[in-house]
Amino acid sequence: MKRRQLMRWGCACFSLAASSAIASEWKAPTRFGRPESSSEEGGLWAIMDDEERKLRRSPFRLREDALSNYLNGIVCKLGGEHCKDVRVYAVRAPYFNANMAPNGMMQVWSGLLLRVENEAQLAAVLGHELGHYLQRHSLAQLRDAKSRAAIGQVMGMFGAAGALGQLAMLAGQFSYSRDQEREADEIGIQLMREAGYDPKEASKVWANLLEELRAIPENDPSKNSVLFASHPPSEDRRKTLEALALGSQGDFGTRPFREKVSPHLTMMLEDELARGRLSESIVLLTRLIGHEPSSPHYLHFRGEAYRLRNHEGDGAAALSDLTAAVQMPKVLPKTYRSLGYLHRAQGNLVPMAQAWDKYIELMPNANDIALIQQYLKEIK
Amino acid sequence: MTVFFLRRCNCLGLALFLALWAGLSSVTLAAGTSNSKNLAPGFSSLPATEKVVLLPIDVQLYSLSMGGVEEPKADWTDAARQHMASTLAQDSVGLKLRSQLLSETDVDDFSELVSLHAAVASSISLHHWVAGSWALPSKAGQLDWDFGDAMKPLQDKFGARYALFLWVRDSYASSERKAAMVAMAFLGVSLSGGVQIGYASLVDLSSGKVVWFNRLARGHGDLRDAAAATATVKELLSGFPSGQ
Amino acid sequence: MKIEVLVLGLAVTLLAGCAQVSKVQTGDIPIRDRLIVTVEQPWNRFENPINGDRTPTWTNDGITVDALKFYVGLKDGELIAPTPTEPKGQTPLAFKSTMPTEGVVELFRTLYSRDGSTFTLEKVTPTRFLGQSGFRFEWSGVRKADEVLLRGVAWGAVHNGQLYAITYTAPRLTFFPRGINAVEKLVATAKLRQ
Repeated sequence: MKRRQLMRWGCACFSLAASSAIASEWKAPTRFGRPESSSEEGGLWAIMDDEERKLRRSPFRLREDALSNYLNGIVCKLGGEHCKDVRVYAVRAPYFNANMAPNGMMQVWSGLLLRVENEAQLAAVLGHELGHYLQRHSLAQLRDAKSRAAIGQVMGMFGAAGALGQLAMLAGQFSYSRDQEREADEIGIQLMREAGYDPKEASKVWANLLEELRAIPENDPSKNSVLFASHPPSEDRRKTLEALALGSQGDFGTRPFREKVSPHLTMMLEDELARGRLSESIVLLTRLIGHEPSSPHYLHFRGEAYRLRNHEGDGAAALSDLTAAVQMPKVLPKTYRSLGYLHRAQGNLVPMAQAWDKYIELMPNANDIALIQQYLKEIK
Repeated sequence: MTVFFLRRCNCLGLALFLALWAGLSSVTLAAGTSNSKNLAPGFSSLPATEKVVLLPIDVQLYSLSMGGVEEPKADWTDAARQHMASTLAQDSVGLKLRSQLLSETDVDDFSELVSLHAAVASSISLHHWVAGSWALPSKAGQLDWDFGDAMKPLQDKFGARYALFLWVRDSYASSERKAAMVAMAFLGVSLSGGVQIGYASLVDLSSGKVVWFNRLARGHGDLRDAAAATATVKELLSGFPSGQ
Repeated sequence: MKIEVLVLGLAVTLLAGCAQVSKVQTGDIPIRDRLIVTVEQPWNRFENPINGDRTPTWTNDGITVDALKFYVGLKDGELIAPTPTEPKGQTPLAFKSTMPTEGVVELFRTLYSRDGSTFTLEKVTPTRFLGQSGFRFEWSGVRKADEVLLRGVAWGAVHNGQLYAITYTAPRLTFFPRGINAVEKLVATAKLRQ
């Protein structure tokens, strides 16, 4: 079982009419001990320990202490004493995914960090995963998977699907039941509330994901989207979470979130564009710009997405974004490079030269200086 | 793992998979022979005084269900790893080595080397062992792969001149699978119910050369119990070039 | 499940003709008719498409280690590699005659990273290739499937609206530094057949 294919943040569409599985006075269990290695549960922990070891060593793991400590800190706010048993790993993967294993290993993918807007939304996801952990859902889920056929190495070897396709297919194999998802949602909201986060942010996570999915013309939101690495976000889910949060208030934690995540923003946005699904990236970036209109990062990368997609009207959109980006106090030097490329493509040689002169001034040792200088020579 | 094939080559991944698995009933490695196919040119035996580090064994056991879909079995895998490790530790295979069995923690800093070795070993498995139409003409039928200086950090850390890498994938057929095999026979496919594939790779850490490489491909064997695991390790290491 | 069974069967019957590796002779070697390179050291050539990709591919140490690929005369709209069917909605990587250097680099960036592998552009410079002005870029990354750390280099030029490129990818430890000298020499000899 590949660690990245253990789906947790998934959903099955369920009816609001179903009664709540959790009374409002749910109490977290006490800390779990390590099971006997000879037991079935022990066997499952062994799988997880293997996966965790591989993850710790993986070049895809984001090792920055500040980020790991931040994520662990949120888990501690939410999970109380259980946080001693939880280890959070940030992973470089441009998809919306977080999952938690029964041995306490939790993964958060960079695609998720890119898409949530503040600490409360992040806490919503982590709280949901903790909900599965505290209710021992993952144990039940893995047990079921063992008795069903698991699509694994063989499919991979046949190349019938890329790793991402496997992800989508495995989602069907490793999903939680509706009741389990509902439980995890309710517990997640309760944990958020108790930790002082605004639980209304939970439903916003889903609303945002739905918007991103809907913008893909060929993608029916009711089908699996590999972007979300599991079941698609649903309108029902969003409504349920909204209802659970009614009347509550709390913190968003926007500033600490931005502070901890921003060192990784360029990498995450480059990875997002490198997915080669620019229309989706544009939708995502439009939302992020709406949330943070003066971010030079979001403006730069949406401008880049338009420039690279190059559909009808994209050139003008790119120009607008990149021009806005350079007005920002903390403009990225490479925005001037992009402007230069854009102007060159549109035949505007004077603005092109101006942009590139600025780029060379700011980044005299950039890895593409020779190319830029060649272009500049051509117009002389 | 062989999953990388899906990245590089659909067709080749298939071919490798089948080359390794198909027709296993007819493949039995002769035990205890040291032949030139296993040895790099110019290498014949390992001096008994040289130290060998044994990397943690990369073993994975699967249950093969109907349709050839595999389900990894962690408890089996764990048992197999322990059996194999204790076989090596007790030197039950008679390697007579000055050896050190490395733990997972020991190799935490060497993950790039371990991944690199796995990738090279897969190519050796395909192009040198399966060979045939897959042979690389430039190798002229020789075991001729080397890591250059890349393995020296491993040598420096553990004071060993050689390293032994073991890799095993092992699957067991369910009863539905056995029924499917009858159907497959009509397509001319002979599939073994239980399949065990693997390799043992001995690397000279100083020169970086793969000096000995043995491949295992058979339709029987069960790593789930201690005696059988010992037998598998013996088979993997048959013909190991220990000097005396 | 049935699909795997059928695929397995089909694959076995195809196995004999599925793939072959042949020797690349030394001397002047034509590739796809229009490109000629001078080969000094032995290379191995894959005879059949890899993952549906028909780009001629050579190797020193094997399918999972290093790869030298030749893109010869791709026309406007032609893809540099087939579009994977899973996951759906992937942008086809089509070359356009009007593409500037940075556009071609982006094509290869997406090719290398769309499966989740990482890609970092290290350098891009103008250079002579095929006797005309072209470009060269270098990159590094991690292959998603097996986590091998890779380095890559590519040379390219657009001639009469068609793309010509030679790329070399190998693990960053030992194999790339070892292979690159012969590749540089070979690329220097590359010319278009008139």
